[in-house]
Order: sequence, then C-alpha cells, then structure tokens
Amino acid sequence: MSETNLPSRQQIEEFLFHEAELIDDWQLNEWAALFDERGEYQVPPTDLPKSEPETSLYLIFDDRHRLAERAKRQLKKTDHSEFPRSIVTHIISNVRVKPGAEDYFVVICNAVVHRSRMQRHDIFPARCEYRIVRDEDRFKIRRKRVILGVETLRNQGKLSIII
Amino acid sequence: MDGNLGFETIQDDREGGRFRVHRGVFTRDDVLETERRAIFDRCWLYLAHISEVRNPGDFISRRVGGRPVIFIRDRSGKLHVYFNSCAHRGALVCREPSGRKRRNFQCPYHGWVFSDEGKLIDTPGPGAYAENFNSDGSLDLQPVPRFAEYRGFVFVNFDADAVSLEEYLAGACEILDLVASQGAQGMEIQDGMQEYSVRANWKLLQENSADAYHAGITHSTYFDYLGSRDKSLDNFDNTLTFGGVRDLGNGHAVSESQGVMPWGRPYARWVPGFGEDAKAEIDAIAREVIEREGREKGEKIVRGDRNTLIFPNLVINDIMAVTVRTFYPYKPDYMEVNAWSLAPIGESPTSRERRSRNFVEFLGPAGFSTPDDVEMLALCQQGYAAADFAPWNDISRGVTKAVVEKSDELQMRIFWRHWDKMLKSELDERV
Repeated sequence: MSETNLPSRQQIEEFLFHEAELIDDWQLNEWAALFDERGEYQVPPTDLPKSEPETSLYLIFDDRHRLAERAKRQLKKTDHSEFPRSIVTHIISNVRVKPGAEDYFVVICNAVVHRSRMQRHDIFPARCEYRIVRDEDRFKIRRKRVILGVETLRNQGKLSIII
Repeated sequence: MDGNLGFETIQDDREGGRFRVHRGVFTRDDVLETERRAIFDRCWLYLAHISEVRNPGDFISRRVGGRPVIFIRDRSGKLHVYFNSCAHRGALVCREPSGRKRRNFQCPYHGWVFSDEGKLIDTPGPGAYAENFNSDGSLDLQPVPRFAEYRGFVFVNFDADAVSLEEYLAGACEILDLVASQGAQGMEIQDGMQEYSVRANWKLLQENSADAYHAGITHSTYFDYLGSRDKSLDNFDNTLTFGGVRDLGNGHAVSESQGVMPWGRPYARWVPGFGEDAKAEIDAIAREVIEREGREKGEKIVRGDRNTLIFPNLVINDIMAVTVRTFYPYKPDYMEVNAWSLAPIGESPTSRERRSRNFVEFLGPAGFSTPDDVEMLALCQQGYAAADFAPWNDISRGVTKAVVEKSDELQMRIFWRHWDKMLKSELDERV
C-alpha cells in the first residue's frame, strides 16, 4: 500500500490500544477475530530475532487456525499456566505507520507487557511489527510478529500470555 | 540410602509394590552439593551437537555442568573444548554465544591473547614476565578433562578417569543411532535456541520429560487443539495403555511406542493438518529411510515415538519433531534449560517448514504444552515447602505389573535407583 493511502498514526494507535485492551481484559476470542483469514502470529527465537520462521525455530509460528486455538486454550481452566489468570498490562509506544506491499501497510510499535501471577511479576519488552489491511471500515491484522526485547527467557521461564 | 545426608532418600520396596522418593532431595542445599560431586563431576554431560561447529573457526560458548566452556573447531579443523576463563585473572575471554574466529581470543580485561587452540600467545607490554613463563602450559586456556562425540552428540566429562562415552551411554547408543539416521546426509541443529528456566529442582524435569501418565491431564488443551485441527485424535487411546519402557543401563531409559500417537511427524506420519499437498513428500521421506536402513530399523526411525532420558540431564524426545534438551541446577529450586530442534541436513524447504510448525505446536516455552509442564514443576516445588509433614513422592505406578506400559513410571525408578547409587558411592568414599 502506497504512502498516500496510509491511515493516520492516531487511527492506528486507536486500533493498537483496542487490541491491547482486549488482551488485558482476557477477551481473547475477540482478539483472534482482529486477524484476517490469512492472519499469522509469530514470535522469533530470542537468539535470532531477525530470522524467518520457515527455516529457524520460532517460539510461536501460528497460522490463523492455531492462533484462534491459542486464544481458546488460554481461556480454559485447563490452561494450567494461566489458571488462575495473570493480570496483564500492555503499554504501547513508539508507533509508526509505513508503506507495505500488496494490500497491506506496516505498523511498528514498542510494547512493554507486565504479567503478575502467583507472587511473580514478569516483564516482556517487545518490538511489534504488524502487517495490517483495511476490511471495509475496519483494520484487520494480516501478520503480527513480536520480537522480544530480551536475550533469553530465563527470567520469565515461559511465554504463556499473548504479547 | 541414608549415609551422611542423615535422611532416607528413596524407599524401594519391590515386594510391597511401593517406590517412594523423599522430597528433601528437591529442596536441600547439601543434596545439591553432593550431586555436583557425585553426578555432575562424574557423568558425561551433553555439550553440543557437532553441526554447531561445522566450519574451521566456528565456536560456541556456553555453560555445561555450571562451568563456562568454549567448544571450537580450530583453523586446521581440530576440535577443542577448554574452559572460558583467562589464565591471568579469570575473566571470560569469550562473551559471544557463538561465532567464527578468524584469529584469536583476547581477554577484555588486560588483553592476554589466546590462539584458537587455547594457547597463550601474547601478553601486552614487553619484558614484564620471565622468559619461560608458560613453559608448562599452565597459562593456556585449560582444556576440559575429557570430551567425546557419539554420532554427532558431543559430551564432556570433568572426571579424567571416567569410562568411555560409548560405555557410559550403553543402551542409549541405539537411540542416538536411530535419531542420527533420520537424514541421509546426517543431522544438524536448526537455527533458533530455546533458553528458559524452571523454578523447580532439576530432577523433576528429567521425570517430566518422559512421563506419559501426565499427558492426558496436564496437556488436555493440546489434545483439544489436535481434535480441532483434524480427525487424528478419533482413534487415540489417551490412557496410553500401549508402548513400553526400556532400561538402557547407567540410569538411561526410553519410553517408546510405534505408530499410535495422534500427532503428525513430518518424516512419516502424515495427518490432515499438514494438508493434502504434503502427503506425497512425507511418504517419500519415509520410503527413503526404510530403503536406506532396512525395514525394521527404518520403521523404528520414521514411525517410532521415543522419549529418551540420558542420565543425568539430557532428554532426546523424538515425537512431533526431535528436541534435544539439557538443563542444570543453579539452586535446588531453580534450573536453566536449553533446548534445540535436531533436523536432517539437506531437508527440503517445505519439510523444514512443516517441522518448524510442528515442533512448536507442543514444544518450547510458548508451545501448547511446555508452559504447562513448567507450571506443574513449579507447583510441585512449592508443595515441597510442606515436606516436613508430607515427605514422600510416590513413584509406584506399574511396579507390580509383569508388562510395563508407556504410562507406567518405570523410567523414573530407573533414574532414581541410579541416582541413589551414585550419591551413596560418593558419600561412602568420603567416610
């Protein structure tokens, strides 16, 4: 999508804040519905943040079906790593809107996600790279790639929430 | 055993059909100290896969058995493992986790320079040291007492008098052979390392990594996911009353079955979730292996699901992909875990992508299952705070059965009996 058709940063920030609110409020099926039918959710390995998922072993490599199932799983009592549920707080910043390719444009932002549960407090800093398309008067996520701003997951132990 | 620890660590009552482990073994500092001497300083410990240092100059630096080491293929192609600690004041001379050395390692503190063979070759500032300063080699980077490779798997041993790696691996050699034979051109570690931790005692992860009994409960959401994707779950017996467990010697064990697990394997078990297009390629991969290795071994390679425990802290799980996982305790209630994907060299891009997707549907710190394992181990560790009044773990499942199934706990008893023997011999020596 070319420079002239890009949405404003304010429009995009509204969308990102809405997404963050859905995750923080555990409305995860609604979060999954933000993705378009080809939607993907990806987290690269911490030692190779610039790698591609077809060749490198990502932490998360979800197609549309799997990301919806991830959302459903996290809402179950049998998702043991998130029962009882974490308190999740997203802070979104450094938002930029850029031209993309095909029918999508690119959005880049930083996120700091706090997670509190069972006497532990974990922090996940991240740079999020989105491919976003317009679907009538709404935005849809074609791809969300979360590049964690940590060297390893030693402090957090696992990644059991949506970033 | 009671020995010098002053408490009974395991109760192995074969006649009464009961096997118990005292929870103090997961919480006490003196147990961990004893384990360091009796186990981690005596056993062969997994360091790396040979594919990680494929070219001259390639190196990795990581901690093994709690100690920082450098594994390097020098410019002439020779392999070395030496401690990553400067002979001068001890600083790490290498701070990068991996790379390719064109020249030397220079310590960042005072600038001592070591060759890729680990030899001291320069100290900045001329004339300050005696001429025969390093004639005994004591100022080189110190080599680990032993290192050895078996079919691409490289291990170190801090005991110069240890038995050979092959003798140590015993029956586990067969399992490593099966994994190493998947690729016609050999195997390699796939890019992308999983580095996480568990706030629990290290032995709980060895127990958990081949524990078929927990799968249906702890991982019920993973099976829900499989059911949502295709029909591969329809004929699956999730009570796991099939397969078996074999004692591989020296504390090693495998929990295995062939062709009955519900998940896809990118090298032989096509499931609808892979898509119709994938079927021909997956069948061809299986055919190639069976033609190359013969029917019996070939079937084991491509259709067998195997969770293998190599004593004390290496797991090779050949399930929806192959994971190599090792871990080390820095405290009784904290371990660091490193895990990798092992894949055939020269695998097609479509097969590699299938493997990448399939691996993380279950495995890894953001998969549909590993986070729940991490949670369960932490819950156990928290429960052990009550060990004074609730002291015993029960590991008796299947103890009286003539035929042991995959969901029995024999592999854990094999681990514990060997663990206890090693601790006891260490404590006896000290008396």
